[in-house]
Amino acid sequence: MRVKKSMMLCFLLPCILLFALIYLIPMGIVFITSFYDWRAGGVFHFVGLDNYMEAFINDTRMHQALKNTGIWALLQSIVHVGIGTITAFLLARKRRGWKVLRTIFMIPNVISAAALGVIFLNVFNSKYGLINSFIGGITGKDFSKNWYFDQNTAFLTVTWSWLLYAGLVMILILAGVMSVSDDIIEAAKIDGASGFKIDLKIRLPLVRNILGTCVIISATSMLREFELIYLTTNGGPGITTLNLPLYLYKTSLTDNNYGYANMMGVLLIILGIFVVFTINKLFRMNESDY
Amino acid sequence: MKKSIRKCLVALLTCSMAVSLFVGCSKEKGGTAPDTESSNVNNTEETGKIVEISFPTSWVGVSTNTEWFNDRLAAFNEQYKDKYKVVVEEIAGDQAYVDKMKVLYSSNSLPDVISAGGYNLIDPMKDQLKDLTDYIDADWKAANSEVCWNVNSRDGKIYGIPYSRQVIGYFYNKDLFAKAGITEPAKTWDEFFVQCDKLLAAGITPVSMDTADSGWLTSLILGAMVASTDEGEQFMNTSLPSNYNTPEFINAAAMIQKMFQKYTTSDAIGGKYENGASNFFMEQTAIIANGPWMVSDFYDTAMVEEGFADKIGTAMFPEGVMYNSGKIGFHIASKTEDKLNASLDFVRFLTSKESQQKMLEMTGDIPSDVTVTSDTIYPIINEVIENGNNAARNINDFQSLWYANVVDEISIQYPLLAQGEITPEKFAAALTKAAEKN
Repeated sequence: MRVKKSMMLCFLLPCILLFALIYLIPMGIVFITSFYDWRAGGVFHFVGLDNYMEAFINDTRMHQALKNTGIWALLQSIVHVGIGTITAFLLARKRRGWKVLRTIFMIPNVISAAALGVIFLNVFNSKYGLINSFIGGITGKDFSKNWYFDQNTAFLTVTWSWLLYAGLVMILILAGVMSVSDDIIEAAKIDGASGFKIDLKIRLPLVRNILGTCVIISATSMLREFELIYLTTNGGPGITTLNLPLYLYKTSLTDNNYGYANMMGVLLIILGIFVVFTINKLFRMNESDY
Repeated sequence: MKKSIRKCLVALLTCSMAVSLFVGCSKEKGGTAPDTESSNVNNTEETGKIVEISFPTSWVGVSTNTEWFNDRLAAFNEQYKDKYKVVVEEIAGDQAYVDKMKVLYSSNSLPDVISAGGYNLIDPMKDQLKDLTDYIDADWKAANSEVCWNVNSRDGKIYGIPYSRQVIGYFYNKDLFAKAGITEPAKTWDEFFVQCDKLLAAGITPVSMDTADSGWLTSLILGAMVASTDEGEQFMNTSLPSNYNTPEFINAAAMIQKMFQKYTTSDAIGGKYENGASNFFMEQTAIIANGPWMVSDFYDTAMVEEGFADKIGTAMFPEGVMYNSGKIGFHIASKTEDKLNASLDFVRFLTSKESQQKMLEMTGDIPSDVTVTSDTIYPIINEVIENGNNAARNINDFQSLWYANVVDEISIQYPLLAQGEITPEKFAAALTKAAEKN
C-alpha cells in the first residue's frame, strides 16, 4: 500500500513537535548554558570550556561521581543482567511453581523507589534493622553495623538496593526464550544436545538482541539512578555514594550553580549515547545469526 | 464517500493531536508569571473581581502548623471572600519546599507568597522578592521585635515579614537525670560531659542526635558549643559565614565527634530528626535539643506515655547559650500591583496579633510580636521563653544564616566525623570549601 508523504508528515508532526518542545529545545539550552557561569542572583556570563576543565581537572567530587556511576553501570550490565538471564533460563524449564516464582521475582520491580528506600533504610538500620538482628541471632552476640553510613559498607549496601532485583530483565529474556521455535529445540535434542547445551548454544544466541536491549536498559538506568541514593545516603558518608545525577541535582538546587549542573547534564547525555552505541556494537544488534 | 469520511477523520484526529500538544503549554497573554497556578489565577482575575494569589505551603499533613494554617486560611477566605482567594499548593517537608522554590526561581515564576519554614531564601532569591520596606508602616514595624526584622532584612531593605521567633534550648528527662544523680542542668560544657558520663554509668544514653537532612538536633548542639565564647557567639550571629576554620568551630566539632562516639544512640549516624525524637519520647535518651514547637508532642499520648510531659525539664545550653532570634518569615514575589496588595493583606492577616496568638496556642511557636501572650499555653513553653529572656548569649539559627549547601554538606560530613574518618579540622575545611562555592 502506498502512503502519501503528506499523510506521513501529518501523523509524524505531533511527535516531532513534541520531541522538539520537550527534549530538543531544552537539550539545546542545556548544551549552550553549559559554557556559561550561570548562578542564582543573576550571574550569567560566557566562560567557554571552564566548567568542563574544572570538572575533569580539579573537581574531586566529579571524579568520584563519574567513578561510582561507571562502576554501577558496569555492575548492572554484568551482574544484574546475569542474574536476570540465569533466572529466566531456569524458569523457562517450566518446573513446578515457575509462574509463582516469576511473580515473586517481579515484586521488587513494582514497588516505588520511595517505598524501597524506606524499606532498605529500616532493613539496614543499625539499631533495629533486620540484617543486624539476623546476624546477631546467628552469632548469639549483639551485632551493630551502620551499613549505609559506614564508609566501608555504604557503597555495597547502596548497590544492594538495585543489583539483585532483575525482574524486568528476567521477564524480557523469558519472553525471548519462550518464543524460540520448538522445531529448533527438537532438532537439537535429536542431535543429542543436553538441556544445558541447548540453552548455551541455541537459546542464548537466539535471544542475543533481547540481551543487548536488557544491557542497554540496565546500564542506562544507572545514568539516571537518583531516588534510592537520595533517600538512603544522600551521596554520603562524605562522597562515598555520590553519582552523577545526584551531584547534578545538588549542584543545581543546593549550590544554585546552573551552568555547572548543565555541564553535567551534557556529560550524562554523551555518556548515555556512548553506552548505547558501544552495547549496540558489542551485541551486534539488528544482526541475526540464524 | 467512505474514502472522504476516512480522510476527514484522519485530518480531525491529526488536528486534535496537534492542538492537544499546545493545551498544556498555553500561557496567558501578556502575563509575567508563567507557572500554571498563576496562569489559572490571572484568567479568573481578568474575568471577575476576585484577585487570586498563590501560596505553596509545607504546613500540611503532620506539620505542627497544619491545624493553625487551615484555621487561618478558612478565616481569611471568609473575611475576604468577595475580594481575594488564596490558591494553596501543598508541598510536604521544608526541604522539598525549598527545592521547589529554587526551581520556580530559576524560571522566574515564584508564587505570590512564600514561607520556607525559616530557611534562608532571601540571599539566593532577593532579586525576585519584593522589597517590602515601603509597605511596612510604623505600627506594623513596632509590633514585631527588632531581631525579627533584622533577620528578614538585607542592606536596610525588608524582604520578609516575621511571624515567629526562634527560642531554642534543650529538653531533658528529669526522671532519668535523677536516676543518674543529676540535680540540675549543666552550666558549662565540662559539666555537661560529666553529666553524660553519669547518665552512661546509670545505663542511660545521654543525648538524641542525628545526621540526616541538616542534622538538626546535632547542629543545634554544635552551634551552641561554638557560641560558648565571644568570638563563637559572633560567628553564630554572622550571616552567610564562609570560613569555618576557626578554633571555636574546630573545638565544637571535636566535642560533637566525642558525643557521636560515646554519648548517643547507634542509629544517630544516618538518623533523622524523627529517630532522635522517638528515642527521647521512649525515654531511651535523656536530652534533646529543640524548640518549643515540640512541646505539644510531650502531651500527645499517641507518641508518649501518659504523664510524660511532667518528666520534662527545660534548660539553656551550657555557658548560658540560647537560640533566640528572629525567624525568616513571609516573602512576597507578586508581579502585579493588585496581587501585591492581596498578598500584603494575606500576610498581614497571618501575622496579625490574633493569628500569632492562635499560633502560640496551637503550635507553641513563639510570636514575633512580643506583646502577644496567652494563658492557655503549656507551662513548658513559658519556661523556654523564660530561658530565652535570661540567656547570657543569644545566637541565631544556623539554617537561617548559613549557605544552603553548607547545611547540606554538614549532613554528609557528620557520619565521617562520627566514625573518625575525618578530623574536626577536616570537617571544618569541608564546610569552608562548600561555602566558598557560593
